[in-house]
Amino acid sequence: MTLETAPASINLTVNGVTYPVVADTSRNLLSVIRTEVGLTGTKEGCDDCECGACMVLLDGQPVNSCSYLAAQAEGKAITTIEGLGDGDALHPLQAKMLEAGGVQCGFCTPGMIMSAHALLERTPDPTEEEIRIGLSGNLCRCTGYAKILQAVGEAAVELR
Amino acid sequence: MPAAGSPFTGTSLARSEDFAFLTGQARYIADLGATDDPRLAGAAYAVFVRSTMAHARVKDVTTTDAENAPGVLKVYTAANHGVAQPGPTYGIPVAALFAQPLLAEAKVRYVGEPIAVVVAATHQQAVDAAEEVIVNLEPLDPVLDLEDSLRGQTPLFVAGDAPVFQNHVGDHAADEAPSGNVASTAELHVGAPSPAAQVSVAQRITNPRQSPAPIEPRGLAAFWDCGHLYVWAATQRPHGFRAQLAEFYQLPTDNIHVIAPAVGGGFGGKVSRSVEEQLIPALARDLGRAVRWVDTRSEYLASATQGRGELFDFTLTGNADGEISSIAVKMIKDLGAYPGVGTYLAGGYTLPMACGVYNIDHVDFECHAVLTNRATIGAFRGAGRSPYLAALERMVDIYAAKIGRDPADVRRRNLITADMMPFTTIAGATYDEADYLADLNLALEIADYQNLRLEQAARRSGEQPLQLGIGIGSYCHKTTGGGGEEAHVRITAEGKAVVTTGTTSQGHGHVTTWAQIASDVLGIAPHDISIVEGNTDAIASGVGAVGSRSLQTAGLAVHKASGAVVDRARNIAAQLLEAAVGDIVLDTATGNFHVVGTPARSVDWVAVATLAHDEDLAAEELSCGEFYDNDGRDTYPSGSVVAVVEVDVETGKAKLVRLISVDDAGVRVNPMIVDGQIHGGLAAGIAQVLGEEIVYDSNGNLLTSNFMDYAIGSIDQFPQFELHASVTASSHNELGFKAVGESGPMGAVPAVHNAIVDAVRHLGINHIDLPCTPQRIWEALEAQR
Repeated sequence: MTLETAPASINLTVNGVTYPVVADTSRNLLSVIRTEVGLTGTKEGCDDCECGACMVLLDGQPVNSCSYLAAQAEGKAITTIEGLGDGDALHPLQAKMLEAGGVQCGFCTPGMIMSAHALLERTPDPTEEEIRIGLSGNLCRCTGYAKILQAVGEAAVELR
Repeated sequence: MPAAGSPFTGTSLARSEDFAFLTGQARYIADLGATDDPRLAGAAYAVFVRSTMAHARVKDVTTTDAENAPGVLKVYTAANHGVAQPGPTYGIPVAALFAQPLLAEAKVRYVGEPIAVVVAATHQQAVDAAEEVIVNLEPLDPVLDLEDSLRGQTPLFVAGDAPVFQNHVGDHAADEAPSGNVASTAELHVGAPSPAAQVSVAQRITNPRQSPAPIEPRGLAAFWDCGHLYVWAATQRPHGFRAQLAEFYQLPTDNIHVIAPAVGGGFGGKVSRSVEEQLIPALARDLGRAVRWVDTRSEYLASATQGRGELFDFTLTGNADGEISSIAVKMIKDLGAYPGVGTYLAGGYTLPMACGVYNIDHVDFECHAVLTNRATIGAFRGAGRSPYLAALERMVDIYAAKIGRDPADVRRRNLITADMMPFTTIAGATYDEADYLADLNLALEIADYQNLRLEQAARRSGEQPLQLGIGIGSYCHKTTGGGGEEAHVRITAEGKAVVTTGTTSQGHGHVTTWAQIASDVLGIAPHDISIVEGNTDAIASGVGAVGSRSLQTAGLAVHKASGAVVDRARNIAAQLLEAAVGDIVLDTATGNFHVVGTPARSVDWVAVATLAHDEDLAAEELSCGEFYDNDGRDTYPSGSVVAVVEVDVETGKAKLVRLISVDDAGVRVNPMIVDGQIHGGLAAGIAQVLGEEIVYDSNGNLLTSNFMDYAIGSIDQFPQFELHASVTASSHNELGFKAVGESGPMGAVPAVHNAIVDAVRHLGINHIDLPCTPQRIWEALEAQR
């Protein structure tokens, strides 16, 4: 059955820039960010809130954008992977991931970094266990998480 | 531009490819659009309508409502896709009768099999319209049990089932009459039983299905222009896929351009042999516009190829002192609904590994690969080797328990030793240099094995709820599968280098690794060496990233082509230095050419390149292509894993508390990248033991169709891995390279599995099948209470 939806005008503020978009009210935030806003760093890995590849920050809180309506995000500050770092200067989380070797295929990386960012905002001095819990909603098939764990721990030290 | 820091082989350089991944700029198949390539402007979206039954007759497919849905361009079924399917398979010789039609014709044979495909202007329109396709299926009894399938009482294919091949080409064994549901058989009977053997142990061991499950699912886009086919694919094999498409669409390979953009993991799941990937170009041709398809996760888990799926009836025989003499295996390999890569795994990868790491004199091996009503089996990290080696290592523990010996001692007694290398087993595999015994001893030493045994004894005598288990997995495994790779190295006018290879990365770190290898030959800094891969127009040939093969093929080719470029450059340097070319040497530490013995007077790559690129002078071109053929000299990476688990005997929950892995991957170009490969492989292996399993119900319905039910490991499930690099240079190639991509699960699966059984062995338990979920362990414990 086709959902009855209607196009709506939505103002989305992504990485500090406001984008007026027209999208059906049924559309999820992930697809609107990727298609209408045109920022494709946020990935779809499951469309079901299980893999975390679509993680973005809404007013600093990590949200699986695949399962959040775009219309609900109006008026909130949306941060995607493109909003971290500054040009060629990597954010410390990105820099530590690079140094530690926390990236392999890179598909989970943006979501992983957004979750880690949210974790370190609320827990600047996390224990290993807290990092594991904070990132347990982000699946990675390549790395076994070892170097991601290391990178986030090192980034926490640098950011404090 | 001196290559400060050289040699780079052995250096953990940060990966130069990572900036794009870290910043969200990397372009995967779903990200590509007209800004990447104008051919993708206005790409339409394809969504498949799939079987909801495991085995059924297709009565009719009604597409009228879907055709009239908003945005729909066309709906395709077997009746109208118009593709003259040229042969039964894509490079895999099997009986024509077993071929999968592009879209289901008379029958469907697995849940998820494509029946129709809707193409619409937007993805959402295609999704909505696909719901309007009405499929009328008449259920048939599914064949799910491997022994039932082998008996063949319900053949899944009967005459008249096969598609009509209108342009049959190639060397398929298409006309061989198939026997029941058996698609292939592999046998090996060598040696004779030892008269001294006194103890036999037998065990049925299953290795359940896993999904490769890269976080990026499958995807493809296609476009035709004047008879030229452009394909963008999330693939591990751009050139191999091009060859398949050439055969399929009856085109010269030059008319097909396959591009692998950033690919989000492969693990054997992106070898591009699925009907969906074969069909999408036909839709683009018919519609005259680009067509794109990307799996959803549930589609991926249901319809992409899966791995594993083995049943072993294993008998191991030795004497009472722990000397193993004989292995007898009857194996059934689940192929799923249609014969795919799984068809040749037993003969090509399992059988050569029959002896594992042991010196064994007698092998009786027999495998039948059979069809069932589940998704087709293809490759998954360690395909054909991991399940067998895990079963063999399980048998060693069962045998050790039977004769009352420590399982470490039994392994020590039977391992092929370093002084025997290179060693050809009676199964015909030639293992290259390694010291299996030293690696095992080191892993045990790091684990503090003797004290672990003491602690285990204390917990047993104290009847504590958390029992300790210690498990070992010793491995070596066949890689490459023969063949070679091509590499080109070109020096730019600025004195930098461009390296092009036919293999391609899905996270393996080729860009950094190839730059390190080339740098050590060229004396040009790695950051001044750019890498081109994943593009069939950039280089004539390639195989791809399968079978742990890239370093030991493309890595050697990069080395060889770099050397060839240096030889040409020496000619130019000789002109500049007004010296005989035979006297010119390249100092790779500085990147300068000079006359031997007089380094003070030198020319650098910029000077050499400037002359080479001066059109008026028409100097020698600084561009060389070389092919490295491994000539069957596959390498056998090896190692030993020790796992320590705690099993709660009240709840059945097993927790992995330590994992020590000593791995001999040969010479390591970038140790950080190598460790990362081991980590990922270990995680996949550990997850398989603890719970990751593709599950179908008794009607063939897939029960694990999302990441909630299909539990690939998450970050809270693994301990800190304790790795140790054991480096033995292989004599099978001049750089001493081996391989690493698939090593992780080889040792991890048996080590963790053996540890879990070891934790409860004193309670009367000899074996628990994979995965060792709390329920399964608890049931085993209950049976003994």
